[in-house]
Order: sequence, then structure tokens, then C-alpha cells
Amino acid sequence: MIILCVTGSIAATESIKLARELRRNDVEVKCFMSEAACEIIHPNAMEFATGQEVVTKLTGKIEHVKYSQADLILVAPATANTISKFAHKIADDAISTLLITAYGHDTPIIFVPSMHDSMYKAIKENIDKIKDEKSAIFIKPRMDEGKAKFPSKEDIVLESLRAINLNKD
Amino acid sequence: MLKGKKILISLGGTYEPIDSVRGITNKSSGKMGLELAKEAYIRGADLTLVVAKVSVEIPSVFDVIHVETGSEMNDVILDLISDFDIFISTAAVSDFEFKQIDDKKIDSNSSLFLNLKPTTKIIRQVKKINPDIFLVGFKAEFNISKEDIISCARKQIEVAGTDLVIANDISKNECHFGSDNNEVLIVDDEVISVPLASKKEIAKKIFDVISQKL
Repeated sequence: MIILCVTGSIAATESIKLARELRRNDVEVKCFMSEAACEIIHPNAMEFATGQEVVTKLTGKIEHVKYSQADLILVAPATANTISKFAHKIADDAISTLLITAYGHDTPIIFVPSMHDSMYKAIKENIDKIKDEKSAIFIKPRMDEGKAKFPSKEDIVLESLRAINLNKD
Repeated sequence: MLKGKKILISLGGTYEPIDSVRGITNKSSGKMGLELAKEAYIRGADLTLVVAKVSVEIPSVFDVIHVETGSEMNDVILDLISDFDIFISTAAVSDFEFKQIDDKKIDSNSSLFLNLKPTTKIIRQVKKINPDIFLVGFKAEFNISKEDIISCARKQIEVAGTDLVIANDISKNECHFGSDNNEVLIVDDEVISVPLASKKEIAKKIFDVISQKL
């Protein structure tokens, strides 16, 4: 099972089709959404795309623990805020709490950064910190029309399935 | 297990220039090679692609070397081959090249005779350079019996030292060059018959067999 974490970037609109594409590759998908992501797409869209209830906040079901040992945590799109919080192991919402719980269990994590170029530069230090400690993988944006765009769904699916297999013994 | 194995895959059809604007090529689409590449990548292989003319989009996550002619493909592959554990040759490489290439545009007012010479078969050079490599070849034949296809495949094993040959009859419905599906025979000492399936499914089957043989 892949836990698809959707955070507050306009590229959240791509997450709906990404979830469908993962399922087309026989992967079960469970979605977590941040509050900011819910301002961009409605959780119903992700519920439809994944066929499962969406986690938007932690409850007595301790969702951050329950899903921390999935095959992969895929944060797509990943905002500057989410990446920076993970770099410093801050847990103040459902997704950031899931991420550090998964990190503690050595569950593979992939970030698909999606933000304005200037923000990307501003958090470079945090991205480098994560890369250095090898606590997560980053999928680079696709460069098109001089802009950093959300990578193709096919690239994300390939990297996700590979990360799962590389983590197996 | 393919995890960490270094795999080289060639795909697409080569283009042999006649003059500065014209050339001969073939109908290879690169679809089978691309599906093998995706499957190898997913299984954790360390992958490099040598890509001629293809009609598919190559995902940006792959390491790609682009070539045009058969002789360029030959040079690139033979240069790299000693570093790899597995080579899968899916590219349709021209069997002929021109003795002389006109660097202008040939005048179209008079009739034209083209003088072709046979090219070096890349697959036959591979084991001479890297005898330990696991070599997978493809053999496309047109409208022949299953027995004849198997004997063509076995001939490649004998001549090139191929470890596994994926053979098919491109005259069959849905199995032509560029199709999304195929029906193949996986040949070595044994013959495994893979009925009509998507190229993605065939790629999975081929790697299941390779993984057992490694």
C-alpha cells in the first residue's frame, strides 16, 4: 500500500489522476490531505480516486501510526512547508506526524516538490539536509516553458514502484 | 533478483541516410524495449538505454544515449558493454547501409540506384567483448511455422552466443511492428510460449525468466 500525502500546492489537482495511475498498476492507495490541500481540491475527489476514506486529521484511530509502515509514503505535491518541517522533524499536523513516524520505521519516503522557484531556492538547505541523511528521495520537477512543473505521472509511478522494490530484502 | 544489476537495453529503429534529407528506416516503435526498461527500473536495476528512432515518449527518469544509424548504435553498445551484467537487444538495426552517402540532396529528375552493403551484426560482437554478460536477443520473422521460428532463434543462440531469444511472427494479427500487444516464444534449451498479451505483461514474463536464469 502507498500512502499518498497531498499538500497545499495547485499541483494537488494532479494528485487525483496520480492516484488512479497508481491503482492502474495494482497498488492500493490511501490518501492523507493537509488543510491547505483541502482548500484546493475537496477530499471527496481523493476518496473517489483511491476508493478509500481520506485522512485529514488524526483521531483516536492513531492514523499516523497505523499507516507508518506502508510500502511507501509518497508526498505529491510536497510544499516548501511540508519538506521544511520534515527536515527538522516537526510534527504539527496529520501528514508531518505520519512522516516522522514513518521515518522512525525506515519506511521509504518520496517527495515531489511543487512550489515557485524562489521558494525552492529558499528551502534548499532543508532539501540538502534530507538528501544528506538519506531519509527521503526527491523527484525533480519537469522543466518546461522555463518553469519547474509537476513531473509526469509515469515518472512518479516508476520511481514509487522502484523505491518499494529497492526497500525489499 | 535484478536489484542493482547493470542492464543495457537498445530500442527503436535505426536510420541510414541516403543523402542530407532522405534515408531508410524500419517500422520499429520502441514499445517492447520501453516496457522492458520500465519493468527493469521498477525491479531496481541500474539501467541505461540506447535509443534510435522511436514513436514512444521515453520517461525522463531514464539514462538515455540517443543514436541515429546502425553504426552509431554499434559503437555505443560495444563501447559500454564490458560494464554491464545484462544486454537486451530489442532495437531493429538496419541490415544494410550505404556504401556512399551523398552530402547534398540527390536530384530527383533521373532514376536512382542505391548501392547497399550488409552491416556488422551488433549482437554477434557482444560476447566476444564481454563473455560473462547475459545476452537477450529478439528475432522477428514473417509468416513462418512455430518450428521454423524456434530454429531461427536457436541459430542466433549458436552464432551469437545469446542466452535467451524472444522470437515472434510479425505477420500475425496484433503482433506487427509497432503494435501494443505481442505473442512470443522465449527460447533457450526450452521453449516457453507466451500467448497474446500486452507488451507490459510480456516484459514482466521475460524478466521472470531472466531472474531464474541468472
